[in-house]
Amino acid sequence: MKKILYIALTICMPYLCIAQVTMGDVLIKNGTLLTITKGILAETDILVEKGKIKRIGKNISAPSASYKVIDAKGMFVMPGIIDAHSHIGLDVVNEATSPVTSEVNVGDGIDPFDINVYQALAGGVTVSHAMHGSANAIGGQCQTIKHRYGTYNPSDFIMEGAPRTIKFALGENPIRVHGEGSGIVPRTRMGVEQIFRTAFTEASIYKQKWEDYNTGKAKDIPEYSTRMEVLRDILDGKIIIHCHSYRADEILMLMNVLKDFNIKKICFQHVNEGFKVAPELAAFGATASVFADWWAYKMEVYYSTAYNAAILTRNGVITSINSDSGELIRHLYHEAAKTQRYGNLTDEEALKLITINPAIQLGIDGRVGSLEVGKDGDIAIFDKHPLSIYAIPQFTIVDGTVKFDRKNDKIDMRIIANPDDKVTSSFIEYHSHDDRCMEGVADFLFKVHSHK
Amino acid sequence: MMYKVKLLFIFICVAGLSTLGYGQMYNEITSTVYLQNGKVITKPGAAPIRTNILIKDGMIREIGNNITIPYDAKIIAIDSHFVYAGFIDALNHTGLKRDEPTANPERGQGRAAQQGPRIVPGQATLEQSGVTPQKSVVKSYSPEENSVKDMRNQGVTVAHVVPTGLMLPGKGSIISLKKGGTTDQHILKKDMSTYARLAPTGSLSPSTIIGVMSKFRDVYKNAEILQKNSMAFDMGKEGVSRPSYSEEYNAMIPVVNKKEQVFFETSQVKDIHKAMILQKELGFPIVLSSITMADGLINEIKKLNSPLILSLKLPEPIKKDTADKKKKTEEDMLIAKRSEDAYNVLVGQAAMLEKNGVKFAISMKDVKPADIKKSIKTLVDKGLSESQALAALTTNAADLFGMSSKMGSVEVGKMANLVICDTSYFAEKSKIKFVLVEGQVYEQKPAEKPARADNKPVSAEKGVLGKFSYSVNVMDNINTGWVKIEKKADSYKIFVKSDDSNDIDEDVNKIDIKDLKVKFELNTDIGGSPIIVNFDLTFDGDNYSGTANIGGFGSFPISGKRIPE
Repeated sequence: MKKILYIALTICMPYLCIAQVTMGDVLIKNGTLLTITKGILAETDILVEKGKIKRIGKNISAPSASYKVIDAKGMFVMPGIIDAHSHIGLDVVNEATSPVTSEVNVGDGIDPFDINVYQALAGGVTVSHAMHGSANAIGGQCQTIKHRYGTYNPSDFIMEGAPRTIKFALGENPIRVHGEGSGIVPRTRMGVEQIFRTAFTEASIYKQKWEDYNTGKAKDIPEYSTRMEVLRDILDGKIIIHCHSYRADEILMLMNVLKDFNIKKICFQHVNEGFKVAPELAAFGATASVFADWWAYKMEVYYSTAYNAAILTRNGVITSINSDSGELIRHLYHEAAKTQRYGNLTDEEALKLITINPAIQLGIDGRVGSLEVGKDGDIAIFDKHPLSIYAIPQFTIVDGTVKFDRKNDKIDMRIIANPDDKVTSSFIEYHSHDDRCMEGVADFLFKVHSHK
Repeated sequence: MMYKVKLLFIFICVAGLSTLGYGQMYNEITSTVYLQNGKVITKPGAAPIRTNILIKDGMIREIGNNITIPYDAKIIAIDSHFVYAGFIDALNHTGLKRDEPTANPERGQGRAAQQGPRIVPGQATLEQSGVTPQKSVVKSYSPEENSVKDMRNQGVTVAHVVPTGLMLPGKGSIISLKKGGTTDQHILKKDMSTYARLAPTGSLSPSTIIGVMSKFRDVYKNAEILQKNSMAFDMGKEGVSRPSYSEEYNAMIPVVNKKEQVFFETSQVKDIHKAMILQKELGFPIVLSSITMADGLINEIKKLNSPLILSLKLPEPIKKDTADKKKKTEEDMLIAKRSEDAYNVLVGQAAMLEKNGVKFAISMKDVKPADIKKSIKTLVDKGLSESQALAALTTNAADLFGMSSKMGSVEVGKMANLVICDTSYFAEKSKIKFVLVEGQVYEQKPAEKPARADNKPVSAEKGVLGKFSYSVNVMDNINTGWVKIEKKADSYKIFVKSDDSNDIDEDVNKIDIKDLKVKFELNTDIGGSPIIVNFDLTFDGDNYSGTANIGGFGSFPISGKRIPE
């Protein structure tokens, strides 16, 4: 019995420190509901009770005076925006010391005081995928967080029940950090492939060793390795891979590796050349999370197009648009709208890129990503249609609790201030949080500006 | 013959007297001390009692007004002075030898990282990763270190001394801060604790806090496994192989068995939370240590119901801005108010803990010895009761170490560790007059003012003061910014700002300025990973040149010139 304790411990790890999260009650009256999955509902009310959407319909009245009531007449009500690639709300991003670092988990380093989280709320974003950086072929575990800004307890940010995810990275970053930096594999793109193959092979051996011990075949307790535990869980389909990728050839390479190891759950991140292999991605069942129009910040990312999201969508690949930035995250609705200029996506298709599609990629579409009874009360309210360049978010609600209120929020929304904080530090802070994908990498010493 | 003996006697006396300076110990002619007529605060919260104390062989033997003074007693008249139990420092590096070649593990770079062939970061050994739980602090301790004297002068009689290092530096011991003799003679409890920190290495694995947490899990679980495998092997179970021995894992076995507490250094909320996550997962006995800010986690801390050590590190008081108030915008005022509130929160932590009924001891590790009394006074001014302050310094710490039958209060049968003040310790201008450690009497006399002449700035030195640009060439990548060197009241301050960052770095140590040569060590971080940069600059007029040694990566040329004010 005790033998499986180790396994039980690792599985339960992220959920052990869950504190009390505030679940609110709110009634939003007479808004235009962009439900995403059930069409547009004009002049409709939506009732959130104890953090969950209870009713959607006309003439709903608040069950008690304790409900917060928002008059959304003339406004647009949509599900909270979801960012499938972000690094906000984190103390650290990159454990850049080895080509494989599946043992680390950014969920251990959540920063609930990060002002970027509030700024994301001000852009209607209620959930983000806090990711490890892209320095390693197999990076650290990521954490899907709910923007429950205002808490002191880092565990409150953890979206309870969200599937586990992990960061992978192809191409220049792992080659530069480990191959050029330390003179080890991977020194080439071929080497990156070998890192995956070796890691999964080692994990299979590790798994077998523990199985032999647990079934009594072997008497010695094998060595414990968090790194191998996590890789084994990937093999067992318990973790969704989110892979930093650009080039089509490498995307195909990783899909081949995954086929060989019978791994199915993968979302390609950035995936700038995804448009070249869209049918292959669709056939594999892989999903894609892209930028609307960001590229050319390094060699492998010159061959790009703003039509990427549209082409992927039309080819049946579940696609999302992400920020990877504390700045972009504040206007993902603009980023989604760009796919209408470049690719003629419909309103619903464009909005799906920042709601239900990223939710599917994170495995949380049963909870968030659309306005449906039973789902979490994560809601963004805009004065204009969110795909309009003139739209300004008015309220952002997480679990039925108003976390952003454009008219009534304080000027200084820092949770903790330091006595020696200089004036305006909180307002310029996001600049330094930009481009965290390669944060902490030794290259940063040399101030080489390595993006994405 | 008789004459010679007499002469020798006089000589000894004179020698004894002449060495009796600040914080000096009386020559141990007798081990019996009689403290006459003091105001004794027997324990926290007790009213002062006017009484006498008889000490023999390091222990308090009698307290009262009808003591027969033994013939060999050294009588110290402490008329009207306040007598407290000796203070106990719950966590410190007191007495660690300075000349140990540790290459400053505190700040990240292991020695191995700097010498010999370059280590592949992911292939660091446990030791290089900062995992040395087997290291006993006792080997690094010396009773003759100045830090022992400095702490004792502040009334600290016993300290929980822990080794320096990264994530698992080693085992701590309870040590009596006596002078002379061997270290062994002063050890009260050897290797009684495991010291843990959320300290990544500079460039090796683990280089981040999340890496440290993952490493901690691995070390802990493998210690469990080693113990189980060893037991199976010892019992001669069939099919079992001989487990390979690991000093590191072996040292963690008492922790795994929940017989040894982990003193986890944590400081603010996020760190406390991280330590609590590990504790919840693994279940080891924990002492949350070096806490500076626990607001917002107090309910979780109460639930944890484990001992707690507050750091005496306090923020610098906020300087009142004397600039013209009219120029200030509403936003400026608002931010200034937040800073002030933030200061009050930090200095109010002790009071907050008391209000919440959380018992705590105090670590003086991150405060200068000379500031200890001032800091305690600040805590009291910000709402901590005097009795709780005294408890934190005495009984709470004694309880924490399971030594309350031997120390923490002034009672017969306790060790004669005492602090004697001219008035209440908590009074504004109180002065410690005597400190007794196990009956050894250290008298505090006003320090002679050191001759100032040597410290006066040499005129050449002025040439290095001011603001200078810098440009450092790291493998053909140029980084620029500025360095500012200031001198205030005989001490230097150096600030460094990179053009690539919004932050001004001011964590500068080991400033060594001689004529036109400037050396200093900058502690900065890159994405949460600490890194040390050692500057070695030579000035010539308004220009300078030299090297910047970036921990583990090598020395790079740096130069710059004066930026006119």
